[in-house]
Amino acid sequence: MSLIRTARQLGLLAALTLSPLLNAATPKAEVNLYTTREPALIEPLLKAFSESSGIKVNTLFLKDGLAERVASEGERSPADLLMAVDFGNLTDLVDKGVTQPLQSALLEKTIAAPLRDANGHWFALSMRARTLYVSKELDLPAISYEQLAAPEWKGKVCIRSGQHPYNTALIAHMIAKHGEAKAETWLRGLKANLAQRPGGGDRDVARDILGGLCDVGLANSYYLGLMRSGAGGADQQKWGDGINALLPVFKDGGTHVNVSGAALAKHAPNKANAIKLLEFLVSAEAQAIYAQANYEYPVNAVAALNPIIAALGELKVDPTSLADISKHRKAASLLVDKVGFDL
Amino acid sequence: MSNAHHLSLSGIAHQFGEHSVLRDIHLQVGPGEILCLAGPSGCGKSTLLRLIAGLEQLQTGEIHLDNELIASPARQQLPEQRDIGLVFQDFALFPHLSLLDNVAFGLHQLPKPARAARALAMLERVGMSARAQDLPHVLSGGQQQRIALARALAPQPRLLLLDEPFSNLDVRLRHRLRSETLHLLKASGTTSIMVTHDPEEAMFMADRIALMQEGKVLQIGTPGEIYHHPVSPFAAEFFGDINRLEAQVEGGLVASPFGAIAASTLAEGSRAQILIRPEALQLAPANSPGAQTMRLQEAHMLGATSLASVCINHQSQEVELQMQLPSHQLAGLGDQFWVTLDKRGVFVFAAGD
Amino acid sequence: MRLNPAWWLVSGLVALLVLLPVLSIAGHALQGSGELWPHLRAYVLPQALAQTLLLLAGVGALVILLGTGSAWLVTAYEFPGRRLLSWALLLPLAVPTYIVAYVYLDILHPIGDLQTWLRELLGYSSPRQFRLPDIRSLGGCILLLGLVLFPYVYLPTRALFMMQAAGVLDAAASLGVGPGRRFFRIALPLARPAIAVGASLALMEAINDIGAAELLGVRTLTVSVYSTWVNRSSLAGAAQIALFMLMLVLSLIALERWARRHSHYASSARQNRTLTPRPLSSAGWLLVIVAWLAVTLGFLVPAGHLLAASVERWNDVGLDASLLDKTLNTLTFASIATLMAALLAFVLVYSSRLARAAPGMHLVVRIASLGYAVPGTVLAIGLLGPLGWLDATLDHQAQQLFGISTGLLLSGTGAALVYAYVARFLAIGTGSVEAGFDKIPYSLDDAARSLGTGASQRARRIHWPLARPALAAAMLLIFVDCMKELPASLLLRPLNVDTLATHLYGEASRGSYESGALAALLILLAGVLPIVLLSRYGLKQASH
Repeated sequence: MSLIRTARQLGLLAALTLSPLLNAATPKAEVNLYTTREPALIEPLLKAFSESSGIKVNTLFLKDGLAERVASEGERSPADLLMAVDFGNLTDLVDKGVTQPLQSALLEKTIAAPLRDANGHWFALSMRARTLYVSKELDLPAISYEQLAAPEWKGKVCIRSGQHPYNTALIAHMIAKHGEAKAETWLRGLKANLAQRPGGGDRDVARDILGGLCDVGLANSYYLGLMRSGAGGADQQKWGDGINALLPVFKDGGTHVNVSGAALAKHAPNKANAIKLLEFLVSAEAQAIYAQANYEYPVNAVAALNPIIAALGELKVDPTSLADISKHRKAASLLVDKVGFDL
Repeated sequence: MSNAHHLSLSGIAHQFGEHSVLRDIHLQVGPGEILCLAGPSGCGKSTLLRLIAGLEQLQTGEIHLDNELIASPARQQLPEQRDIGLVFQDFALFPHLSLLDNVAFGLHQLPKPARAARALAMLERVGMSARAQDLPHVLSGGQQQRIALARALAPQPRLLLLDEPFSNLDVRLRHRLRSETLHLLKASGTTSIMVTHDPEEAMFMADRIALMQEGKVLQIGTPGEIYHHPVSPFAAEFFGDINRLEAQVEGGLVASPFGAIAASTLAEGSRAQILIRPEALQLAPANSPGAQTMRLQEAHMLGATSLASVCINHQSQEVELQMQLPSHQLAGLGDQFWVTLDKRGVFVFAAGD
Repeated sequence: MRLNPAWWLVSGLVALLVLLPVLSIAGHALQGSGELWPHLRAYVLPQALAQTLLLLAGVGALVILLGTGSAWLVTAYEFPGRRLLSWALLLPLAVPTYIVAYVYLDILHPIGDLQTWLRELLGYSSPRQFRLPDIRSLGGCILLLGLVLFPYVYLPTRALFMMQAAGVLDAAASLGVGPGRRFFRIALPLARPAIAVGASLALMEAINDIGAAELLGVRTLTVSVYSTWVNRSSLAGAAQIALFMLMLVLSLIALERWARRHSHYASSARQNRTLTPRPLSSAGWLLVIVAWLAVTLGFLVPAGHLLAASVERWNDVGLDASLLDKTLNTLTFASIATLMAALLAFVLVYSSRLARAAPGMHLVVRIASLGYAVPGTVLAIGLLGPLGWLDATLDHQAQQLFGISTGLLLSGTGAALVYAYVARFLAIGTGSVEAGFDKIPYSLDDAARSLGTGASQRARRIHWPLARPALAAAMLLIFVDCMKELPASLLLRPLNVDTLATHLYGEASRGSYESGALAALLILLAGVLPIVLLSRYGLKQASH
C-alpha cells in the first residue's frame, strides 16, 4: 500500500516539475498551428490575428511528415490547424485521416468551390501560378505548356526535380487534360529539351538563366515577387530583375495554379479558436498580407495583387478542378520516373 | 601479521569447448607456504590460477579457502569477494593513477587517512616511497613489478597469486626481484601460489613445486624431492639437462658405460632409458674404481661451470654425453680423462615413457 | 564471466530503443508497396544504386587520402604552424553538408563571384560566352562531401599515429626506409583499423546525406527514399528502399570487418613513447599546402562566405532576437543528447567487456549502433510510431495510477528529439569507447577485481578515466552532429521550438539565404568551440 502511495507522490511531484512543459490541460486563449509553410512567411499573418483576437498562436514548422506526425500523436495531439502548400498535400492529410470536416458559411462564401474540399476538410488560402521565367535575350510574348516540349527548345529549358510537388501537380494537370499517353510524350519532349539535370529550387531557374545555362524555365509566381522585391537579399533581386516572366497556358485553356491551404485537425483541442484563425486568414486584411507580403494570388477577390505579380498580366486559371488533377498525381510521379526525367 | 591461510583444491577439471585443459587436480597449500605451479606453456597452470582467483568459472571440483567453500560449480564467490591478491605478468598497473593510488586501490574499506598511510608503508617496504606521486609509465620494469607486488599485498589478502611475475624482466633483474619478492612473502607470511615456466625460478621460490603436464599434476614435492627423484623422464628433463642412453633390462639391471644400474621395477627384457644429469658425471683420478675413460669432443665455459661434450663407448657404439664441471677443472683436461658416475643423478625409466 | 542481469537489462533496453524505429520501418515495408516496387526496381533503384556506390567510392577515396595524409603530416613532421594546422584540420567537421553545398553553389555559379571575376579577367561579357563546368554533378558532390568529411578519418588516424606507431616507425627509419615508404609500408597498414573506423563514419554521413545531394542534383538512394515517401506518396515503398539501404550498409560493414579480420594489431600497454617529428623536406611543403587548402576549402571559405552574408543581413535588418533562443535550444538538446549518448555508449561497451566471451552482448552493442546506418529522415519517420505508442501508454498509465494526464510526454517535449539524436549517434560513442577499451588490457580488470572492486566501481575508477580521451573525441563528434542534424529535428520537435538547423532550413526553403546565413554561421561556431576544447585537451594528453 505504502509503495503505491509513494509512487503516487512521486508521480505528482514529477507532474508538478514537468507541468510548465506540458501545456497543462486547462483551456487557454491559444491555438496550435502545424504548418509546412515557412515561419517567416506566415508570421505577419499570425501576428495580425493575435492582435485582433487576443488568441496566442503556437507554431510548429514541419516540412514533410505533417500527416505522419499528427497521426502518431493521435487523440492527444495538440494540433488544431494544419497548414500546407500544394493541394496534393492537403488531400493527403484528408486521406490519412488527420482532418475533420468543418461547416463555415463565411469560408464557403469567400472561397470559390473549386478551391476547397467539397466536404469541408480543407480550404485554399492563397494561389500561385506555374510561370515561365524567360531570358531577357529572348522575345517571347506568350507560350503554352505544351509548346515547351517542342524541339525548338532543345537544350534551353531549366526546371527543378520532376518529383517536386509543384511539377508533379503540373504533370498531373497535363494528364487530366490530354490523357496519360500524350502527357508522357510531352514529358519526354520536355526532358529532351532540358539544358541540365533537374535540381535546386525555383529561384535557381532565374539564376541559371542569368548564368547562361538555359533560356527558359518553369517556376512559381511568388518567387518572382520575393526576388524582385529584394526580400531575399541583393543577389536575388539581381536574379529576379535579370529575367522576364510570363503566364503560360494550356492549349485551349488557362494557367496551372496550385494553392496553399489549411485543414482542421481531427482531434483539435481548441477547435473554436482554430476556426477563428481560419476565418481570419480569408479576411480582407489577411488576404492583403498574402498578396502584398507573400506575392500570392488571394482567394478572396477583394484583396489587391502586389504590383510585381499584377505585372504578369491577367491570370486566367485553367478550369480543370483541383480534385480532378489530384487524382492523377500518383500517375504523374510514376511518369517522371518512367521517362527518367530527373536522371 | 597473521596471514596464515590454507587453500585446498579438490577434483578440479576444466574444458575450453571440447579441449580439456585441466584434469582431476587435487592440491593443498598450507599456511604461509609458497607453492609454485611449474610446467611448459599450455599445461593448464595459468587456467588453474585463474580458477582460484575466480576469473574463470569453475566447471568441476571444489575450492576451499580456510575451510570456506569459495567455488563449486553450483556457487562461486566473485573474484572481488575472495580476498585473493594477484600479480600479473604485465604488472597491470593502472596507468592513470599515481603509485600511491595504485597501491591504495584495494584499500577502499579503510578510512581515507589510514588508506594513504598503509599504501605509503607498503611503498616503503618495496623501497619505492620516494616515487609515490609518479605515474606508472615512468617506471622501469622492475619498479613496476615492485609496485604490482605492493599493491597486491596492501589489502593483506588471504592468498596471493603470481602469474609469471618475473618473465617480463631481464635476467639480472629477475634474480634480484625474485629474492626480494621471496623475502617479502616470507616476512608477511602470505600463503602464495606462483605460476612459472622457469624451473630455476620455481626451485628458488617454492616451498613445494607442483609440476604440471597436459592438465594434470605430474608430481608434487619440495624442490629437492622433485629434482632428485623425478617420477618421469618429463619431470627429470623439465628441471635440468639430461643425457639419455638406452639399454635392455636383464636380470633387473640395465647396462651403462659405468656398469650395471638397478632397474628392478621394469619388465625383464624390456627396453629402458637411462637419464644422466650432466653434473652426475664427475672427473676422477685415472683408474679409480668405476671410472671410465672419455674422449673430449668440445668444451664451453659458462662462467663458474663449464659444459663439456665427451664421447664414450656404450654397447659397442660411440655415444656423446654432456657433462658439467667446475670451470677450473677445464684447464688441465687432456684429450682423454677419467670420469665416474654419481648414481644420485641417474634415473632409469621404461623406454618411450 | 557470469554477468549481473542489471547490465543486460540496461543494455538490452538501450538496444531495443534504438531498434524500435528500425522495426517500425520494417513494419511499414512489410505492408508492401503493391505495384510500386516493380516500378522502383525498373526506373529508380538501378540509377540510385549506381549513383550511391559511385558517391561512396569517390568520397571514400577522398576522405582516406586527405584524412590519412594530413594525419601523417602533422604527426611525423615538424614544421612552422604544425600545432595550428593539427587542430585547424578538425574545423571542417563543423560544416554541415547542406551548408557547404549551398555556399559553393553560390560561389561557383556562373553568376557567382568567382566566375564573374574570371570573366572580367578574361574579357568576356556574358556567361553565355564562357563558363566553368557546373558544380551540380556527382563529381562536385564527391568533392564537397570529401572536403567536410575527411576529419572523420583524420581524427582517429592521427591519434593512432601519435600513440602506436612510434617504435615501429623509428625501427623502420633505422633500417634505412625512406619517409614515403615508411608511410605506405608501415604507417598505413598499421593505421588501417583507425582509417576503417573513420572512413565508415564518413561514408555513413555521405550515404545518409540528403541536403547536399538534393541541392547538387545527385539522386542517391536516400533521395529516393525521401522522394518515394513524399512525392510517390508511398511510405511502404520508402521503407522498402530504406531497408534495402540498411542491408547494403550492413554488408559494407561486414565486408570491411572481414577484410581486416587478420589485421588486429595488439597494442602494448607499456608503449607510451610518442612519435618524434622530423623536419620537413621541400617536397613535404607541398603536403602542407594541400592540407591548408583542405582547411581553407572545407571551413574558411564557407565560414567566410556566411560571415559576409551575415554582416550584410545584420546591416540591413539587425539581429533576429529569436536566434538567441534557437541557439540555446540547439545547445541544450545537443548537450543533453551528447551526454546521454556518451554515457549509454559507455554502459553498453562496458557491459560487453564484462560479458567477454558471451557473443550475445556484442550483438546487443551492434544493434544499439544501428541508428547511424539509417538516414536521419528514415529514423525520424520510424520514430513517430513508437513515440506515439509510448506517449499514449505513458499517459494511460499516469491516468490509471495518479489520475493525471501527462499528455505527450515525449513528443510534446524535447524528449523525442533527444531520443532521436541518441538513437542516431550512439554508434559514434560505442565505436570510440570500443577503440578506447581496446587499449586497456584485461589484466587491469582482473587486477582491480582481485583488489576487491565490483563491476560498477571498476567502471568508475578504471575504465571511465582511461576511456575519457576516446569519449571526449566521441562527444565532440556527437555534439557537432546533433547541432547539424536536420531531418529528425524538423519532424520531432515540440511546438514553438526551433533549433538553428530548422531555422536555417525554414529560411533557406523560403529562399531567404541571407537571414539563414547567421544561423548557419552559429552552427559552425558552436561546432568550432568543442573542437578547440578537444584539441587543447588532446594536445595536453599527447604531451603527457
